[in-house]
Amino acid sequence: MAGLQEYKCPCCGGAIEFNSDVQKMKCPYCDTEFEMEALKQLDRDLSIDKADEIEWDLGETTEWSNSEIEGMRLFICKSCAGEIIGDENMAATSCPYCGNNVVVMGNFAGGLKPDLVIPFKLDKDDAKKAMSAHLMGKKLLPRVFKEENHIEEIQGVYVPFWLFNADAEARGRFSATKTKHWTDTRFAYTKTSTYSVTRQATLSFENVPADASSKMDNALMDSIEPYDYKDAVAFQTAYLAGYMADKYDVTADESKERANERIKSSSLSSLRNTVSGYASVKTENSGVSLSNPSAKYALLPVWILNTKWRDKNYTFAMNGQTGKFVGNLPMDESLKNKYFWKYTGITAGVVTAVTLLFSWIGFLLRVH
Amino acid sequence: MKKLLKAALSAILLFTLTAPNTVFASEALAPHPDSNVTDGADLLTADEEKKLDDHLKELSSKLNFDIVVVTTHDLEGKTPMAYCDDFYDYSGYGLDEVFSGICFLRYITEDGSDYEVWISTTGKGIDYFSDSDIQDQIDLIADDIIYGNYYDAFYSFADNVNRAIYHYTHFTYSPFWIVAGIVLGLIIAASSVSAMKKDLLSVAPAGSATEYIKRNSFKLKDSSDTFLYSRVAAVPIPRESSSGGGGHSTHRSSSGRSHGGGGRHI
Repeated sequence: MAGLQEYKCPCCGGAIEFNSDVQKMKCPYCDTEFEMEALKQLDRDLSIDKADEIEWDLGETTEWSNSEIEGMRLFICKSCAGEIIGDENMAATSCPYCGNNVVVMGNFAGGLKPDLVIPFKLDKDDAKKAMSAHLMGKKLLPRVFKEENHIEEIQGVYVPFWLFNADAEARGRFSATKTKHWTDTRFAYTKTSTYSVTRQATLSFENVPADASSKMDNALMDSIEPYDYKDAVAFQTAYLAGYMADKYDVTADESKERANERIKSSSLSSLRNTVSGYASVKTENSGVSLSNPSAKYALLPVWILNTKWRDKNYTFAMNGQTGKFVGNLPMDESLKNKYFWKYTGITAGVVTAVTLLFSWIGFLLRVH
Repeated sequence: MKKLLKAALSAILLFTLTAPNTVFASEALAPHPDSNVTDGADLLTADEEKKLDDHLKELSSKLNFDIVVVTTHDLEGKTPMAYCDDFYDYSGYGLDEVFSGICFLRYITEDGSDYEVWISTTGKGIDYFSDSDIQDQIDLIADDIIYGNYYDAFYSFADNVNRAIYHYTHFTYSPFWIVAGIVLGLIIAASSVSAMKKDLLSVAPAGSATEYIKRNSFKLKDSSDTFLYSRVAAVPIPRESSSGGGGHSTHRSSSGRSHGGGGRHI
């Protein structure tokens, strides 16, 4: 026998021994029998368990040239300290973060220049129409909200994003079961067969976005995804005319964690999808390692509206390329209650009426 | 044509006179007994017997429906069904023109080695109690019978029969349905309102990057599926309980009368 290796029973954890009666490996504690080959393979499967390896090296970046930043101004919001860039011809307008007025601070000092931009495809009218559509058919929306939002103040902003590219390698070890059912006259049988399954795959990700502005709500920006990078072009200052551009204040390093999590999650679910034909699958161990990471700095078009309603701030955003419109809406508490009791009452009424009718008919039929 | 009609009418007349007649039985086979309790197996004390009999007589006269109890050590070679039917018929039980009533038989040998319970129905009793109703009546007092609490068993039996007949003859509507309606209403309302609430929300952080996977870049490098072991679990199939069902099966006893009923080996 080559090497005195001790195997642990995958069923109960005890030490498995070779049983000469059945000529197989058998666990003396739980009586389960195993083929030698199966145990060897399980051993191999267990040895490839490893943790994640995710490192980023973000490559080169370019800076703005002086001629480019010549006509640009930096605006500051006195209310929330948000900073935005606009061209010198842009009039003082409202802050895309909080809705209050902004003032010109001075000239834009430069810094990191975007690699890419997706220009606005949809205009203000499209945004207003989308907003109206968003408010329609929402049963619990307070009626007055439709009138009191300041839809005119919706504005186009280029929001800075880091776009991450990476190659991923995902590994997973799973325990999966298949079941078979049959019966005879006395018993109902269920046979459960357990398997050790491993998978390893490579896949590539490109342009995974994470917004580079600390003031823009991350969840809001996530929700207007996806953008179609087919329309992305090399950045030119000219694209900014007429729109505001948000200044980035989160580095790629700081935002990479969010991209990491998303890449990891998608890698593992793609891997998990290749385990098929089983009644149940449980992930025992998994890991993702990333290579060839890089990040690009991009400006993506967003229509933004801030509205205050009953002392709470509501922000709406529309993808300036695809038109996807999002924004959480307030709930009218009294409408909710009205619907709740109305539905309860109607159901209770119908059930009572129907059961009463059937009881009455049953009674009439009995006492003919 | 007239001849054919006459022939048809006489055939019908002949048929109705000679066809089996379940509804209109003739006269009673004996004068009505003084007591509704016959404790042949001596399972009750004299005091219990008296109290039980008073109770049975009270309910029987109120319902115009005879509730009878009989116990015995010896079935005299008959089946429990035949013994019970014959006991009821030949004793002269039954208060109305179709001898409506229900008879409860408890048979047990002196050493307790053999035992049976049988319920026999007559007249309106056949309508009041379906086969499964009979089994339900046995269910209600089965424990008392098994543990030998005969007085309680028979007393409760009378009350249960009374209640069952009341529900059959009066329109009753259980408040359970109203409660069930309210509960269902709350559930439906809660889920509808929850859906309306969700409708207001459209902002959530993205957990995955599925849209950013480069097309066709997914390559499976290695895979293995290894069978380890299998287990078989066997669950015994419960024996089906003896026939019940919503039917009102009837049979004829030696007296020629129709009876319904059912029993159990307890």
